[in-house]
Amino acid sequence: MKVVYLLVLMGCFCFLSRSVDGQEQKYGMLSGGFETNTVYYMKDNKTGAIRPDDRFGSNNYLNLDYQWRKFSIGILFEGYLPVLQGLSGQLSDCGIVGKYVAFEDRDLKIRVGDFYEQFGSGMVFRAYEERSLGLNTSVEGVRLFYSFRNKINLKGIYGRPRRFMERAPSYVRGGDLQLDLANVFGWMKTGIWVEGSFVNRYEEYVGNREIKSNVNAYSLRLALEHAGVSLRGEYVGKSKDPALYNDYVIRKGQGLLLEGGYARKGLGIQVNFRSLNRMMFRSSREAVGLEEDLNYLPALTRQHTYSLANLYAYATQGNGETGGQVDFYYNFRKGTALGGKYGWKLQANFSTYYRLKNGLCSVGKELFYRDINIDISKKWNPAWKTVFFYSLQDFNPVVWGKTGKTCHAHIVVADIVHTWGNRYSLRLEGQHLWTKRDEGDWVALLAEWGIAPAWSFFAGDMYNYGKTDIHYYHGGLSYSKSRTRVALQYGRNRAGIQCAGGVCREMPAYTGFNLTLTSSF
Amino acid sequence: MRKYILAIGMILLLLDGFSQRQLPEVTVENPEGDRCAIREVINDSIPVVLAFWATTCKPCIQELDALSETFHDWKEILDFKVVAVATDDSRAALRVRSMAEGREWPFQILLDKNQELKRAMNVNNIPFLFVLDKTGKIVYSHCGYTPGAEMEVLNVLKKLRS
Repeated sequence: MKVVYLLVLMGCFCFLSRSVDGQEQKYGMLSGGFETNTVYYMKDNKTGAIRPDDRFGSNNYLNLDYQWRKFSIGILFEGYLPVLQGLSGQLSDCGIVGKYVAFEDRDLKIRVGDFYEQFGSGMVFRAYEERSLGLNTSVEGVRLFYSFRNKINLKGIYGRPRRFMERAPSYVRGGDLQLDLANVFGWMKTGIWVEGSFVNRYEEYVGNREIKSNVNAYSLRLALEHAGVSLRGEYVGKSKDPALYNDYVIRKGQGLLLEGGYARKGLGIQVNFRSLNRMMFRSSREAVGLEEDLNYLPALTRQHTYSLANLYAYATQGNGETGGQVDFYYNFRKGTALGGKYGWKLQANFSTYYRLKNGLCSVGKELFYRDINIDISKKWNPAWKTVFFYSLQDFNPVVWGKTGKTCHAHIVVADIVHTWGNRYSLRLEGQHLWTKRDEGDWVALLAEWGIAPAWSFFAGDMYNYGKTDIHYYHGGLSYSKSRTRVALQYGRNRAGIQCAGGVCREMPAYTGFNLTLTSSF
Repeated sequence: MRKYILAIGMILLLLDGFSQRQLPEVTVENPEGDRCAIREVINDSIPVVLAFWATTCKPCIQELDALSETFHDWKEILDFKVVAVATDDSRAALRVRSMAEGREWPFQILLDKNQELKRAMNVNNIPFLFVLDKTGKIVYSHCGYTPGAEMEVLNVLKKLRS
């Protein structure tokens, strides 16, 4: 029945869309998007994948937006029929989980309803959506933005954070101020920004423990820009916030983020340092998962795209970590002695994180994570391209709440693409991981046949020959046309860590068919 | 389940031919931190290739590398520009700049830190590429990237010239 509602709703809007199509300026513009991620689960004794009673899992999203001049209105419909395995069971059934009315001008934005927002780097507040991880931390309420000649930018928010299909038992309000000093004083070659944020969470408490209903968080930021050099600093603080996510410890939180960068044609360098001390901040004291985060503390490491390099991904330790990373990009130009006829690109990254010792910026003895990686992209001729990648990782399982010794792993990848004309391509990816710990050595192979611009067929296997002797094979195809993409895949998926935007979560093993479809209009 | 599959099929059928034609009224930022309305950015009276990407998206980087390799050859015969909109959050703003400069992409880089433009244009997955004609009307869109797909973009730009 819910599917029928969805269909009727969609049909009505498409009918309306037909009536305004071609006259968008006069009558407004309707747009929308649909996404489904549906899995048919099968039992697999080899991997331990279970088959639920209802063999299906299906996450569905439909959003519709109507814009007329500077006004817009929209809804977000979600359907979990039921939710995919690994995501919270509290994401259930169907319903309109988001709606808004908004006015947006260059200098003034007003939005009533559900909104997304981020203050600074997000260490005190970020409301966002990441469907691949089942996250939507939008806030239902009011958001205001005002810019005075691009010199002073002000933001204000007030509302209730989303909690799965409902609302959290708390209110969140806050403000953000950005002062562009270079604009104020008319400096053309140098940029200086002074910024600050304040966020308050109110959750009523009537017990006898030393817990306050109000928790405050603030952020002070300074940013400098001159001749390709960027320097940024952010200090954040949080009042005492005894909660389930920090074992009800009654202490204040602090955080420091320092960033530096230099960029010119062909060269990019970036350095991050971050220290966190009790900075986990969720929408309620009893919140247990990422779905209820109020702030945003992603892992400041390189997020790998090769499967074996991503086996041991780092998870930010919001209650105590110190570390940082360095990124380096260099382009060896074509036609130079080192670059050769087609040139090549170098990317390197180093990141390391330790347990906090006793106060902010102190470095403890326990290593959480370290990764040194380098990749070289080279075009050999119009038909051949390669990427060679190496990563050396040290991973402490305590970051995922597990016990065991630190895993020391080497990963190498060869990624080769051959094209025939402008239409056909074959990509071969070979990976190997060496480690004496955990599950030992892995090898992975992937072949992908592309027919541009629409079709892609792929088959691969990730094989653990170090301990479990399990093949994680998979194969499938995808088709893209205009704004629609369909992908169908069958295979085994390993229990492990899935990351998006630096945020990761553990997902269970599953074997089965996976259909993903995205379309927008 | 059959109802469900039927519903998806019918939705796709209904969607066909109802694509968004204009850019929405949304502001984004350039790498220097200045705010600008997206409609003003593309208002140069030349066709624009608008590509959504992120520093953590491998096919996005492949697509932008491919466009970068052919950009100067195309510019000799066509008048157009490429605007690459990074959907990374504000934490990754420096990385966006480092990567774009380090790879020498000859594109205009914009930051959609709060993903407002991405949502307003219903970009569900990246890479996602649009081509706009010189009046700002969206004439082509494509999601995903397969090596060689950039040649279809070239064909669209050639048609816009004629």
